[in-house]
Amino acid sequence: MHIMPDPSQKEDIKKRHKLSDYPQVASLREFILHEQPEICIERAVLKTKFLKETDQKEKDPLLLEAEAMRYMLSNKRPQIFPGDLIAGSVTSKRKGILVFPEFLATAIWPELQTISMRKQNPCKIAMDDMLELNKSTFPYWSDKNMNELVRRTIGEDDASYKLHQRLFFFMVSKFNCQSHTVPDFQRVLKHGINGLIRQAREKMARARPRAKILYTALIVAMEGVLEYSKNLCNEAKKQLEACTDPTRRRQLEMMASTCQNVPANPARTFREALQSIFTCLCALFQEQNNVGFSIGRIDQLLISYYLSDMNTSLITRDEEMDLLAHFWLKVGSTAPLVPDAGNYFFAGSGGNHAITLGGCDRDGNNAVNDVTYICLDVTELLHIRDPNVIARIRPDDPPEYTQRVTEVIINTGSTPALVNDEVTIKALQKVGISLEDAREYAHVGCVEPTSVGRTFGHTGALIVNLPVALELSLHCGEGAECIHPKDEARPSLFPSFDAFMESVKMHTSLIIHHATRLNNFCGEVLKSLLPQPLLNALFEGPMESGEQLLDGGAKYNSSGVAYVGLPDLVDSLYVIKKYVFEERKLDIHTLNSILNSNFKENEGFREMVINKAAHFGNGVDEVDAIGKDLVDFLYRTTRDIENYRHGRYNPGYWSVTAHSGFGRFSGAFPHGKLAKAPFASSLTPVSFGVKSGPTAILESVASLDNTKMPNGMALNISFDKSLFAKREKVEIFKDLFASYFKRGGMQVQFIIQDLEVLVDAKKHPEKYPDLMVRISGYTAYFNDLSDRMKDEIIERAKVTL
Amino acid sequence: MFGKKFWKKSGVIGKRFLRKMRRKTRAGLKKWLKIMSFPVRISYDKLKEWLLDPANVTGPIATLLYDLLIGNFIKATNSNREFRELIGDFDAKINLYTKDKSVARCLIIDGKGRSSSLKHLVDNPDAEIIFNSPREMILTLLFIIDIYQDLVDDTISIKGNPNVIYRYLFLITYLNPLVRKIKVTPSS
Repeated sequence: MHIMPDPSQKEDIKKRHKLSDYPQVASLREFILHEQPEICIERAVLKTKFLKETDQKEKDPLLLEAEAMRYMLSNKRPQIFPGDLIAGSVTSKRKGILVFPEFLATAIWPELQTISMRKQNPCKIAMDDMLELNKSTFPYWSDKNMNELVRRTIGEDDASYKLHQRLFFFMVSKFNCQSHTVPDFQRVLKHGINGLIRQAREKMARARPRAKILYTALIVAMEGVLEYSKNLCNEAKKQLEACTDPTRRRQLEMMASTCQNVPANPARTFREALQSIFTCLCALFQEQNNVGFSIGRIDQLLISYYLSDMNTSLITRDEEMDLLAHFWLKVGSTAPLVPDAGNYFFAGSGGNHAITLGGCDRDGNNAVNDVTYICLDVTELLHIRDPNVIARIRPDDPPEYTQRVTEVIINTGSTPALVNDEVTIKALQKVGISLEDAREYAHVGCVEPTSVGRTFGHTGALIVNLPVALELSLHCGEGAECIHPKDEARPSLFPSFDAFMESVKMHTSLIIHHATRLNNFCGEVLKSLLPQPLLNALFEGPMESGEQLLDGGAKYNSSGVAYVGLPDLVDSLYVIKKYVFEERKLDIHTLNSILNSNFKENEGFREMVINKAAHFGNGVDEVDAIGKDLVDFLYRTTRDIENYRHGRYNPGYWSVTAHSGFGRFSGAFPHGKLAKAPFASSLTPVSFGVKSGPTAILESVASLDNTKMPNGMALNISFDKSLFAKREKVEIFKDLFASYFKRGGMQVQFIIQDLEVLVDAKKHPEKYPDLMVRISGYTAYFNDLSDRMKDEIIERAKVTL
Repeated sequence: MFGKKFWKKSGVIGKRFLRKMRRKTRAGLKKWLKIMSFPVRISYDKLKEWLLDPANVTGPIATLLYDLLIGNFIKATNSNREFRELIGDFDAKINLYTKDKSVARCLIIDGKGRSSSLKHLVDNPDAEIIFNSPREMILTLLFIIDIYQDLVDDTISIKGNPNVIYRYLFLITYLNPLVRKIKVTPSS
């Protein structure tokens, strides 16, 4: 179903959106959708080989890493697959998974023989690769990867480490990556790698010794990028010699000449700009585990090249769209390596490489441009999971932009997500980012706003289970004896709701303290294990100050916390307030025993709290006030803590699929959640508590102070696709998010799909290979989700416009 | 004697015949394999069902089962060249025990492809796997290869270098006939 506002435009847009007009794109898309990804060990093997053969004694970790990067990039296979328009690939496979033995990749060791047959997100691995990992690569890292280094240094009896091991209180993602950022590609486009090397050399001449190491490391790592680019150019020439097809020959010639110029030199054309970004992206992905590593505002990066190409008639709009579609597919052809149990927390997640569209420029002028529309066209045309597309929405947006964004959401059923520009900029300003820098924000990973190339903010550093604090208060701290003497939280100590609330806040603070402490510790370990020389070159700060990113060299430093389960916590606190402390229908001990029995023989009580008690998401002031209080408290507590780079922690409210994972290991909750049932996703209200429809949901969420969510938030709303057959419903849909944004909501994302389709897709996954849904902040293929998540999506789909 | 047309026709018939025969043989083979694997599947399901009943797997039974498993491991290190290749230079002492210590063993792998088992725990092991109960121990070692699954389920806890445990689990997966996996041939 395509909804087009203007009949005169309809034909044109429809014509542009036919996949059959882009045969190479169509076949590559088919491959990406239907083929299992394959584990690529190239990077892991090269890095291990380099380190084994290098004398590491007395070598600075940053310099060592830079040399390793140069070695890896010089020896990385320069892949140009049949049909490619952009040279290079992140992995040596067409659809591949990189292996980072420095992080959690070794956790895949027990699964090597079964990973291609596992139920969720299976991936292929060649026999020789498996043997190589088992025999040589993994054993080398066995006593020196992140997991082991942290364990050995902090000690197994450390309380923070113990809590992390339980995987229930919080998750520190540094054990798996330190990406979650947006580099400044503008630097490469403007100066070229050669220009950046020149800058580093000039700075080095008058730098202090420590800074000299940084500049040397930057130069060495960037030389690696030049080597890789040279190899790509040679590969294009080699394929050209063997090619007889005139069309393909022309494409290969283009690729050869493009790689000859970029990223070494400043980009001159749209094609060169795109190739330059992608070559750097391939290189950056070798440096760090590519989770949430984002591309930024691609429409702003490319617009000047687009306009200049258009003026000189160098390229047509269709050709540019073709190139961008290839770029999308190239970015989407890599996935993270996740052990089977990781599927509880990150099921169906791709690399989450976010692309942000629209918004404003540094001076506050609306920045929607022609490339923004092409990007939207590509998003609609391809209808794939990665990259994760996010559209900034402003009151001064041209109406055709809002209309086009709405159409793309309806046609893809899930993407892009919408973000309120004004609230996001305010939220960033609140945490110390200048207005101009805040205006140039883009999203990282799922929903985290960050000033592009200036904020080094590891936005996905921590995922914290909020409702567990309530469990600790109710159960006298059971399960967390390492941080809390069991008797300290006796329910009899709570004479009033305020006292109970204080206990919940105290437990929350304790959990945050331990999570941030462990994260800071991991940050220190990371400085010696995996500094990022190349990323330093593409950031504002290190080049200027001579201080590396991990030491706080970026212009802005922060770490992100994602709080999971706020709606469940709010609902439960309201039930306790109303029934235990106000109406005194039961005391806290009775409530405890009801919860311990998972409402067995107390179904009546559960029905009462579900049907009669107010829940978050219905626009009830009393409930929303609890949420507001918690958001304020979490903002203060989180921002109070300093990270290892002298920045602060930023709170956010998104959950990936951790709400399902954390929920699975939790007990029953006072608001009616059964033991092992999932928590609500991000700030989306608990599904059984929603009684008033989407307007009330948006009202409740907007009533929380969204400017106190500098690490982003996610709200999922589902609609039946058939509703949008009527034009007026499309208008209501637009009005709905416009009024939500006016009230102060920061983000909203939609699943627009018929309920029957979702139910049928669960039964017959083979019929829906490209059915996409929005999870908390990211897009996933429905088929990649666990049954629990599928059920949750189906449950959510019952809310209608 | 026969014309061109005849040979052409008979060639076609011959090809069809051969194709039919091949299909029949393949179908027959599949059927035969299905019949032959039936007792294996039955015994697998029965064993799993039996083990899932907590009353069945007590300390002594778990010890017996574990010793059988570890015996198999040690035997493989001595007699299976491919398995020895997979072990490589793995050098580790791993304590495996239940919380109540009703089963307590230490597996020693010597770095030269050989292994042995002690009927007691050792000090300063490289890693320890502590099972909630004898039943969890056997279930984990027999059926589950994803250690994180067990950790989040709180059925086991681990101490020491987790990478040592991952490597050990890779090896026992290779030996475990009950886990569906791709066939590893180190000499490939």
